[in-house]
Amino acid sequence: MQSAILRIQWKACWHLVVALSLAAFALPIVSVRLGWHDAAANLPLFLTELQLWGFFYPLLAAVGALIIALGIWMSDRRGQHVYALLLPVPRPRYVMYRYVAGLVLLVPVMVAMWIGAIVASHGLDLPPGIRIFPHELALKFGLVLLLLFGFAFALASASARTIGIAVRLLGVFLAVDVAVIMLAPHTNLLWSAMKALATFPGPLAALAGRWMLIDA
Amino acid sequence: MRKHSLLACALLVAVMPAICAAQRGAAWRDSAQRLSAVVKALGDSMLQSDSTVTEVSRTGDIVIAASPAQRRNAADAFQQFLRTTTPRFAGALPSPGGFRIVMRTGTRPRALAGADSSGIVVLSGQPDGPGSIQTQRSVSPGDVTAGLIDRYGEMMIASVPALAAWIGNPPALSMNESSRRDQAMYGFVTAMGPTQQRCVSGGLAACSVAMGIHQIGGPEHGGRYSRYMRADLLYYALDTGGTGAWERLRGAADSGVGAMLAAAARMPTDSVVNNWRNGLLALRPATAVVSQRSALVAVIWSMLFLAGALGASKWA
Repeated sequence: MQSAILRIQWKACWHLVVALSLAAFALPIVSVRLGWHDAAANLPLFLTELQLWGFFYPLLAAVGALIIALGIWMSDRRGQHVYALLLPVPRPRYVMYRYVAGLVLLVPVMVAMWIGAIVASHGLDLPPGIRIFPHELALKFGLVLLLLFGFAFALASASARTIGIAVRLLGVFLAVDVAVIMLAPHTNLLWSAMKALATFPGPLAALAGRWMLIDA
Repeated sequence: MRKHSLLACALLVAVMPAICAAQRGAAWRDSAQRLSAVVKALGDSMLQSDSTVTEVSRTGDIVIAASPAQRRNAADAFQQFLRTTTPRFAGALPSPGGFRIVMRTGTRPRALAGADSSGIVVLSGQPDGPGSIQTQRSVSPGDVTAGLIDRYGEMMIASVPALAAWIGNPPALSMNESSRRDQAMYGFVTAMGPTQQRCVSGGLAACSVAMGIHQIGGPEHGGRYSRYMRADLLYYALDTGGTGAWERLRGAADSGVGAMLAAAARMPTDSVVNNWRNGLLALRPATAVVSQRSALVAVIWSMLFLAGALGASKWA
């Protein structure tokens, strides 16, 4: 069953996987090679530019996770889940099959990024105090991919009713936040919530920190 | 007679431009002198502050005074000043004749002004007499603390000529410690000169040369670290030396920069440089490295999302 679903997923999403893998492979190479010619003259500037390029790693992970998660559930949504309902498996197991298939599709993206990082950092004549982090960066990219895929997968698998409830709750929260700001300008619930999400042990804490292939 | 008149006229015409020019030059000179006198008087009046300035607080030989609108600001600034400068300078004065730092705070635009923010804050070291070294600045009220600390730091460095020649303009003493060290660390490891790279790799002799502590004979290969880095090394030596570090440094002022740093830190110059170097290298961030904690959190949250997906709802 798992291999059958994986095969179906691959047929439906292979072009997305290839495009994402190419982007993941190219990102570290482009980020390093574009600024490397001037690095000898101004290494701090090169590192600053590299730091700016680092914003693209979580962005690419987010885009990749979202695309694959939506792609996985697209056929089911289009067919009103008839195919899934015809299968003699309970829903949780079917969801698990889909989840594992999605993870397998993400592996090439992560591996491509890893290889790209190794290629990008290979043969650079760096000063002794500067270090390269191809493996660590790829691991971080993989973890964020896993995390964001989990979130996007849960979102995509939810029913329209559940999503509707979530959107309404979000709207109520924003309205309360605006009201609180008007009453107490120094209190910002939205900012506090974002801070809680982005710091330990929030779900987005893994995205924090610098995404540096080359650093001090 | 007519001939004499013509001669006199010709002489007058010939001499007149020179006379006019001389008069214009004299006028310009007088004007410049008057202007410089006015500027000097203005400067003196700013340094002397005014009669509304009264003492707010004092510690040892250092006194802070302020005009009524700035008394509270001055008290806070003084506390911060002492917290920042005492560990390194222990209340030392930049001059035996005392010093005086005058901060004039400007009034903010009416739309922004919650209260009158204009006034004067005077930090002085006793004896605050005619022989004291003086400086003054115009700042916003919020910048009084940093202004006092920075001017004092500049005065202290300038009070030791060998140190001033080595460092030049020091980085602001009020600068956040971790920011300063972080900048120094990046400056240290990103330097591309051969001598600098030997220093990063552990060559202490190269470090001494790159930091301008020791000179080498013959042509010098590789770059020197910036004066900012030298100031960081100085602050490191003062912080390491603890109590009395500044006095010891000042006592060794005639023995060269290396001896001053060694005296301040109470250890050989090579040890100071080596510890400073190791400290900077230890500051290098492991930013791209994923910590076990963040990896664990990412896995746990992804499992929670999966659990949510498994039990979220029935078929849509």
